[in-house]
Amino acid sequence: MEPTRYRVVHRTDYTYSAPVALAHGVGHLIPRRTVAQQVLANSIEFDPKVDHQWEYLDAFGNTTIYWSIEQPHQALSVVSRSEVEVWPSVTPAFSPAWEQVPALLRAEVGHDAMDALLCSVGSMLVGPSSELEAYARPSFPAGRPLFEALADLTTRINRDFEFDPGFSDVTTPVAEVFLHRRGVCQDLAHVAIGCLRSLGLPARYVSGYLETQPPPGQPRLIGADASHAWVATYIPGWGWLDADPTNDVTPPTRHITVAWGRDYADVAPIRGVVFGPPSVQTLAVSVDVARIDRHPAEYIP
Amino acid sequence: MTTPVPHGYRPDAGRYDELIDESGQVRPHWRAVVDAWDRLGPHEVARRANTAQRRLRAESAGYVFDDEAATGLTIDALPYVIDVESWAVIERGLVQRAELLELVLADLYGPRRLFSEGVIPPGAAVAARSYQLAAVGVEPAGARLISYGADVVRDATGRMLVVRDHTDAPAGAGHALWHRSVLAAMIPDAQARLRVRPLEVWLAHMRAALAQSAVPGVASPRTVVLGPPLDHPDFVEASYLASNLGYHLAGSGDFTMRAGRIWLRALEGLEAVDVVLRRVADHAADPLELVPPSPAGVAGLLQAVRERTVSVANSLGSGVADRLWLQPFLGSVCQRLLGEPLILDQIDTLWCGDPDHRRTVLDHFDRFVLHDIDPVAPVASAFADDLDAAGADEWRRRIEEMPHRFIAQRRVLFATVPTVRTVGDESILVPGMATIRAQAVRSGSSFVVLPGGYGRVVTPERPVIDPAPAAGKDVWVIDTDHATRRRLVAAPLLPEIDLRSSIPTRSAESLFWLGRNSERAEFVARLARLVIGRAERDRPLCETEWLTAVLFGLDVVSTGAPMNLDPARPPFPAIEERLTFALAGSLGTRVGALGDSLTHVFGGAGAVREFLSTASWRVVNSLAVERLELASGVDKGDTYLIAESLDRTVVSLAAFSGLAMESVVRGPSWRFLDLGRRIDRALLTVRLLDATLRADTDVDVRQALYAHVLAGCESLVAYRRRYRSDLRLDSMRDLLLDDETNPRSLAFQVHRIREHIFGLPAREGFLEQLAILDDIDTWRGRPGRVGDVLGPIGTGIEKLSTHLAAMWFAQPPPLQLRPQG
Repeated sequence: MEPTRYRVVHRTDYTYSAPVALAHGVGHLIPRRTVAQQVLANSIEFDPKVDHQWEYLDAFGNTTIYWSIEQPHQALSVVSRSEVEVWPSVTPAFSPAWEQVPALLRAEVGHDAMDALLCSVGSMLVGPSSELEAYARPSFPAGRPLFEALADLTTRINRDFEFDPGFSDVTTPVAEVFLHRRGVCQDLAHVAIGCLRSLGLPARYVSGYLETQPPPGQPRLIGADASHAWVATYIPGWGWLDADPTNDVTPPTRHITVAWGRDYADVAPIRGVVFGPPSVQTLAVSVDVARIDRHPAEYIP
Repeated sequence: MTTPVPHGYRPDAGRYDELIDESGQVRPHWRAVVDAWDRLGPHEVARRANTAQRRLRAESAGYVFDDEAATGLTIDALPYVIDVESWAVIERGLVQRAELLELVLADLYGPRRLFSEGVIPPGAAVAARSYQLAAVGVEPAGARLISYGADVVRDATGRMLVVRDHTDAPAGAGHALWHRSVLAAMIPDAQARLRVRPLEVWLAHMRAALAQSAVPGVASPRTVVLGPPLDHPDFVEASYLASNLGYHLAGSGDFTMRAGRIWLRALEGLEAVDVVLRRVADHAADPLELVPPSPAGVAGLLQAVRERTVSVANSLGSGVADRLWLQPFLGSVCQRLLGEPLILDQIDTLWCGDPDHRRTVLDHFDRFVLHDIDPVAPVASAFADDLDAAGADEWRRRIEEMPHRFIAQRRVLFATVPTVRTVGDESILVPGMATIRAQAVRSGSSFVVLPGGYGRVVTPERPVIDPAPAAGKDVWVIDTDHATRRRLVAAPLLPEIDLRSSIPTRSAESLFWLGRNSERAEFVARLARLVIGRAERDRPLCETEWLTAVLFGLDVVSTGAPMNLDPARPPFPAIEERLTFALAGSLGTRVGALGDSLTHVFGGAGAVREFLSTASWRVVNSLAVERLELASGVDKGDTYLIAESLDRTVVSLAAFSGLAMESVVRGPSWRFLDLGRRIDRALLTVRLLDATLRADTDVDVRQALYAHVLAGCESLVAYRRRYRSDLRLDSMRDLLLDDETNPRSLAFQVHRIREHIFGLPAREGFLEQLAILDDIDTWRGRPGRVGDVLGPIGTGIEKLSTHLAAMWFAQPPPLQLRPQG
């Protein structure tokens, strides 16, 4: 098995109709190291230049960056360039029956189990609900191994929900996405999270990128040429298992992982607060994922 | 010697009573107090209780923005007396809980072993929505818990029980100090004679604890209080505390984060802040990172703590232990972290997110008090037993659907404590119930407990956690034996910092409006008093145009526009009716009317407490009492009462402005106060002239009107001394508009305003203000009818005020960046 090497350019452009005097931002823009992913290089470029910057690990171990721009400006552009190497996905040969997972989880110690506990209960954007539980049930008959149940749930969400970039934005509640059975990758991930948590199972939100242009001979994957999102559940004794309901595949399949948390709110690529006269802002995002040859240590401009 | 049981006091048999023991005797620690009350007698106690009440209401003037809240402020005239033995248990228990909760916070925001070892279910913490994941891994420079409070109550069997913990921004110490000052004034020698433990030392401990929490290496840390907005119920205590601690009280918009540090936006520029005493809930303290999102707060505050450039007390995230969800697990947590049981028992508390707990709650539903722990929109707490069938079903459904959100506490019968009730003009004691908010403040690695507390009289109808207003009950810890009396803990010394020039933007704004409103109140009160006086003396004059003109003038001066008379309403033919109607309007609560101006004087004074002298506060307090008198006079339509009250109001307001001149340090703060005063005086002078001189009438009436205008502008005596003639319009114009030596003239005000604008720190845009002033002077000097220049002058003054406010006080609200998908 060979890893695939990608170069990612994630560009975010804000403009404001009136000058902003002071801006604070927090970003999850640096891909994280995982068992299947190695980060070879990363750089973040700001225009205008930041006055102050600070990098730290958040509660889930994601590299997080804080910045402030303390000069008047009417536009902000943030370009994050990364080069990563990703190994193909692996799936567990054996997983426990899904009902046993909460008890097994409580018996486990360590960072993963801690994250799993925090991800088993409702979060700011996704809580358990009886509707989601009812929807999830058919995938979770008694005694079914969690891996199989998750694969089934992923397939059903992929089949039942329509990918519709025009329907939702980041503020659309999960209940509404569920009612209309349509949304973007982020909504589908939230639906899957809600289903798992409604059954008392751990579910986390994974934020990352997707290579949408297929290599020759492979199908095109669905994404918005922006950040991508999928879900992961925790299999005690094995680890976190990813699932991408938007494409019904097990990541990483041309997926690059940036950060994870309980839901979108924990790992938004950029959030921030700006001060200035009332103004209208525009936002443009583009993500470019390119497969590159595995030549050692390429220079990233 | 035994003390007789107070007449008529009969607690329930079989229920612990604080005053009377099982054998029907007054408990020893109450004797001195009961004897003291006995000596005063029921009449005197009733009288003093009434005075204490008025004093509390009056003192609240500076803190309580609206009358609604003020009416909720009452105090029980009898203290809650506690014996040293019972208090010692509370003290030990509180210190233990505070130390324990510090460890809990350190764990929840650090290694989180309590979760991974299964001592606390993470679901409970997360459901409370007060667990700030953004603060996980953030190591504050000092301790996390600087102050801590717990509500304790004695149950019917005599056990002291904890109702809940307060770790977020624990309120109560301010109330305790305030109530003590009110009761101490009621019985001046009580503290000394009865050996009540004093509370003041708490302030010194608080200062020391805050200084100690600063980032190491900061020699004399600058501490600022982050307070809630002026109209928030907690503003009262924040303001009282800030002024007693000697720190600036600032709002969210007064801070900014730059270069990784927190700064106070002061007039002279940004001033670095080392310690923030937080009096707002932690989720409202930083809109950048804390949840649930709130528009208030200082963007970047948590980041500054992360970079260890600032300390926040209590630390950001400590609100997680403030909610009831932790209580069911605290016993096991104590065993795990301290290896000992909790010293203080607590009311049985169950978390419905746990299936076993939930079953217990639903099976024995009627025995519980139900609470929602959602921090944003909680359902009001309820006694399950008191719910009707539909209400109970509703609660059961909620608990089944969102079990994580709900907490149930066993309903407990409380002990009784004597409370004062006034019957006729005598006071009697009746059994009531009260909780005590006990307070601890950090001292080194441990805590000291405030020897007393914020007692609240509770009613059987509402759960004690209900935030509804309750009568305060001062808690007295009385030393029964000289030997047990503690020596006062010496106040730690702190280096002095000179903050003379420092003035937060919000304070400058409050001072400016305080100046404007106090001037307006004085002007309106004086004018109304003049109208009443003349009307009483000179009935025939009232039947002329005079009355219409002066009432119109009163209206225009107070509100800037004549009152909208209801056309459907028949005109008042009777003089008396016209007068009372006009007074009700100009002295009431319409914007600009006297009642409204006074309210803003109290609010403004409360916001800048630290700039005003003690004597100024006495004056403000007396104004608060006067406002109530005035309102009752207006309600009754009694011009005699109104006139009396206006006399006192005018004197108090004059005293207030005199004190502002004599006891406010000359600096930017004084300039803003005086700017406000000058602007309003100029504006009202012009308005009065404009409104009153329009009347087209005969000579006698005109003379009376001129006299009214001159007296209204406090210039009649000056006129008479200078001109010794009949009142003439041109001489009047000279004195009121152009005479730079008359402190009431427009020219004088403009001169002073110009001086202030030059005296304030230079800012872009001040040239425009000078241009407006020049423009006003030009209009003033124009020949022609006085009526033609007044309009443009008035417009100029209003424009200047708007310009000043925009230049100095404007703080654009933060804007959230749009999220990307």
